[in-house]
Amino acid sequence: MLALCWYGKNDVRVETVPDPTLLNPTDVVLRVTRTAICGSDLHLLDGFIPAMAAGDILGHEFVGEVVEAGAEVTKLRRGDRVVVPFAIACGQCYYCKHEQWSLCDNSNPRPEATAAAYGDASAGLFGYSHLMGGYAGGQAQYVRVPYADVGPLKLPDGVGDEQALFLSDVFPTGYMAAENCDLEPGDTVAVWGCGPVGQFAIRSAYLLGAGKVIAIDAVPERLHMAAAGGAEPLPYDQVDDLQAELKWRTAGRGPDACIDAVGLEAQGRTAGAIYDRIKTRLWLETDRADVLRQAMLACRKGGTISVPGVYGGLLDSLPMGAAFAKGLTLRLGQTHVQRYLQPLLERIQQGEIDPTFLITHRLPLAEAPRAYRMFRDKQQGCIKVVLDPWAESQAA
Amino acid sequence: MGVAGFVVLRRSSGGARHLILHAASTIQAPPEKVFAIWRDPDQQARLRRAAVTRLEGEAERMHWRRELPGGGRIEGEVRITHSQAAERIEWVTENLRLRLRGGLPARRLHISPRGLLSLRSLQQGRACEVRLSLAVDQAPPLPWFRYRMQMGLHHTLRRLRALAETGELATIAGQPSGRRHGWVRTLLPPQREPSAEPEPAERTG
Repeated sequence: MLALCWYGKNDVRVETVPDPTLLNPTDVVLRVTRTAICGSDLHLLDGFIPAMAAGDILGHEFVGEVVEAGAEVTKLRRGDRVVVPFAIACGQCYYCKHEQWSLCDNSNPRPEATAAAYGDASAGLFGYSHLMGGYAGGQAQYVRVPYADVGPLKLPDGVGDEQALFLSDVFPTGYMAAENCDLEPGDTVAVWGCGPVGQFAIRSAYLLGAGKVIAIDAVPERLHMAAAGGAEPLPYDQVDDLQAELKWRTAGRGPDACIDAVGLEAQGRTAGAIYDRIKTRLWLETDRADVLRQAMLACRKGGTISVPGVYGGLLDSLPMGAAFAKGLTLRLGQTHVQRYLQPLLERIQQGEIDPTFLITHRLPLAEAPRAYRMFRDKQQGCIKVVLDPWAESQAA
Repeated sequence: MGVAGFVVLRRSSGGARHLILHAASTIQAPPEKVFAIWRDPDQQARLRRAAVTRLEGEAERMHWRRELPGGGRIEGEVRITHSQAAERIEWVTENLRLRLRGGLPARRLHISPRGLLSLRSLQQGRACEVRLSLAVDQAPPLPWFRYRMQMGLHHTLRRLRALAETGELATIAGQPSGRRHGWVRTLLPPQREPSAEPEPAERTG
């Protein structure tokens, strides 16, 4: 089969690799019909995530059709169309029983490293380094899905692959980010980063009752898409003082909730951003935390900081004094996708939201390396690329 | 209850030459089930990533053997000294032999580690608290070995939890990749699975 493989920083290639097989009796194998590149995949391309192995297959956003099912799979059978959560969950451990699916105790076959680094083992993720289990990802023609009775959601007729694709990650991630804000009707939310997760966070905040959403980014097409979703654009590169601007737009109080949909690769020209760039280059810090700093300072007293953006290591000079003095609540973590699949699917079916608004590019899997660069460098208005593993490459 | 996952309770050395290691886990399965898994040689093989066989005619003795990188091998015999269903198992490992490389003679290790697994029922028997202890009468000379032993306890309990809760061990052994030369750029050692792993099923479609 064809699969997108990682070979090093800035080096991803489409290769022919063996087809996956069932390894445990609760596995299924899917024929992938659509897959997408996530913003967090760019952290792999940029070499920010350790414990990658040359040849690893990437991708954690995909939909597909069941072609094989293990002997103990009871809920799926050959021919079923499914969307698959990016975090793998066993369904039986303490955390799964408490619907904290992305904290699953049993799905990471190599838990030693995160147990040592984070104090507890992380759940397994598709295509996201050997820290997260080393599972082959779904940017491929076929993918093996473990614990198939737990994660995948069967898709009804009438919901297309592209409509369902983003249920695998970015839609629930944006939704959980908004839900973590504990919004009250009319609240104001500031969202840093108008990439795919930020776009869904904006729309989800409105679904959950926000009165105003301020979208902070510097890329015009992203701000335009955010405005189409009802947000008030704030191009941070065109204001002298972001804190003052946010105070002005919230009548002096600050946003009720702030969402950091950027994560560890924050960019910018602030003193904090420059400080982070220097320290990460000197290996004195692993993650660039400038957005988190800005959010802590901007949020109103007693407000909430919600962090769907990925952080992986050590952050420096966070204003914890401000967070303490202002009584902020910090909510973060990988998305418990399984918790949101059915309710968000129903919102799609009822026409409350059509997730395909996000798609700016459709390309064959064979062109995935180009798509990665285009997405990372924000060329050609790229916000979200959907890959078809079976389409003929135009470049071929 | 609120406690799940893994907790290192204590890491202590009872004198210069003794070492006692402890670890604990909360498992969402009845103690009877956890106890049965621990007593099953096939499941022991999966827990320890070793080949485990019950010695003929001796219900309380098992031989285990683990291959080491570079063709070496460590093996020994486990003798269960006390067993109380769903509550407690004690054992001692005897006749430990180490061969560092294929072709070299095996060297007898003059230590007899003793182990204890204790179980306590929680949530009206739907879950249990599991404590695992290992006592070695001659502590390894370097801290690194002690760290590895402690990690070994952790790994064993994690695998016990996975088997008890899900009936299987998460694995990626045998999955496809784009690796061409078998040379893996990773910070982690290659994953080795015990022989008791189920064989990959055949494609049905």
